[in-house]
Amino acid sequence: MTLQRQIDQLTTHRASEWLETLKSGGDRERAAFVEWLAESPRHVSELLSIIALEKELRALDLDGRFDLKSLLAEASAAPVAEFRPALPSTAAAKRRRTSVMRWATGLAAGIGAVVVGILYVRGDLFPGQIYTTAIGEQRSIELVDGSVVYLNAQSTLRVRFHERTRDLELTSGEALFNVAHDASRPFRVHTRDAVVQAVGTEFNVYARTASTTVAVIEGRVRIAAGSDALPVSGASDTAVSAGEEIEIESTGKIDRKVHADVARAVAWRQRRIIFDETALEDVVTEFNRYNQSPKLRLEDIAPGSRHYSGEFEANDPESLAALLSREQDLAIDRHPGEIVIRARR
Amino acid sequence: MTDENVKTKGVAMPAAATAFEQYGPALHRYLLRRLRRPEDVPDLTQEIFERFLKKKDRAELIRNPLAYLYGIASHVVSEAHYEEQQNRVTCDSELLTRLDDRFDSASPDQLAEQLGLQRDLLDALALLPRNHLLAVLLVEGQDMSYEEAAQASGFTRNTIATYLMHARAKLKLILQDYWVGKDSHR
Repeated sequence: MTLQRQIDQLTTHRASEWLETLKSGGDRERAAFVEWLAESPRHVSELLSIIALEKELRALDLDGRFDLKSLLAEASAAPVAEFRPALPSTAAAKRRRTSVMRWATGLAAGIGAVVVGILYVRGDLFPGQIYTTAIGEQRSIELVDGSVVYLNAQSTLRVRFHERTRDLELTSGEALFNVAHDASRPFRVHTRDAVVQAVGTEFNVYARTASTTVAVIEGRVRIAAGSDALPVSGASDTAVSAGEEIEIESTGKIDRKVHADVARAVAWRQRRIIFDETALEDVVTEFNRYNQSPKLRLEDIAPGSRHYSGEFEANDPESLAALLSREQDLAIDRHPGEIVIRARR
Repeated sequence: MTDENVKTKGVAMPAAATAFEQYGPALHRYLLRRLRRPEDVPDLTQEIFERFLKKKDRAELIRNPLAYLYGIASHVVSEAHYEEQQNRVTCDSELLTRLDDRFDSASPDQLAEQLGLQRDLLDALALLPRNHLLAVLLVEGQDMSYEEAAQASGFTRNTIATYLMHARAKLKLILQDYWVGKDSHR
């Protein structure tokens, strides 16, 4: 799929999503919608097309065209999501990442110029462009070099482009980078735990509190543990190829999956989240990243004690609560804006 | 419709969500034709976009952005039709009504196009994931509220909303691919 095609698809989904959001959203959502519309004529175009399509859909005579009964039967027979509790295991207990004189004035000015020069070269004088997303928000950003960044919910990215480098700092959250080829300017993504360097490729970076996960969709990247390290050939570097995923802990420990399901790593672009033997507290954190309300909260459940696998709509924390309610030793309490999952006493 | 109206170019623009319904026919026909046969219609998006950006009163804009957008789009489309007829006039409150009357009496070609579009839409619906299709059938086909559709299907209300969101986007992409493919074979 071409990059333009990906952008088109994303814009179509975004337009459709706005239409849904506006049905129940308040001033804040409408203001964000106006900002989105004002970003590009394409957004206006896409939104109007989606509205026209919805109207046409409403006018369509659907009676007897599809077997509604069997669709309803399938829906009621199927589990709300593929979901299977995993036995608490030690293997699954994942590491928690884990001044009178002219000469003096001249000297001070000289030192100042040198410092300014150094800072300029390092880019420290320029905070760069900062992009953030709120809970549940996703956005695509086209950078001046033609690269495209898809920023997932609750994420912050700072972009600083220089003559010889393209530096981006993913302070928190997750982003998918589709990098425009420029061999003379390496594209580097810095997180607290690692630096990922690419020339022209596509990769996903998820910066968690204690670790960073990098999944390579196309091409190849080099990774160095630490936020300031530069990935050059050497012992501390790690090359990651397409189809591979690597996790760098804050301790510097590196965990590599050679045959990773990288499609799973970017399922968030379709607002789907997939868990694989994931600790319940991490499942809850992930849902809360996408939903302002209701928030999920755990009570009296020890971290690492329960692990789950399954695929969910990111906007539907109720589906998780509904499934957990089938667990004998768990109770689900619903409060305004919050779902509490607790151990039964 | 609410009493909350905004004035633009001397035309009362309903701020309620029914604005699209009121200004709909000409705009709707233009948008569908643009979607299906883009080469046959002038692309007025840039003009719509620029007029949208010119809006200074943000509070008013945020109060009902869709109604404002529909209003602009309807005016731009209407003006374009008039220009086509070499009969440029100042837009007034009766313009849209007259235009819609004109467009309501669709030609045989327009009717054939409309039927073709509905057939394509039905074909595209059949390609949707079954849960997405179910959400469309319940909400759009059976005129159920999201809550009623959730109750009937066993999904949550949010899931229904998400399925509908995905369904609309997928339908648009399926149809676009189909129509582009069809044009390239003409």
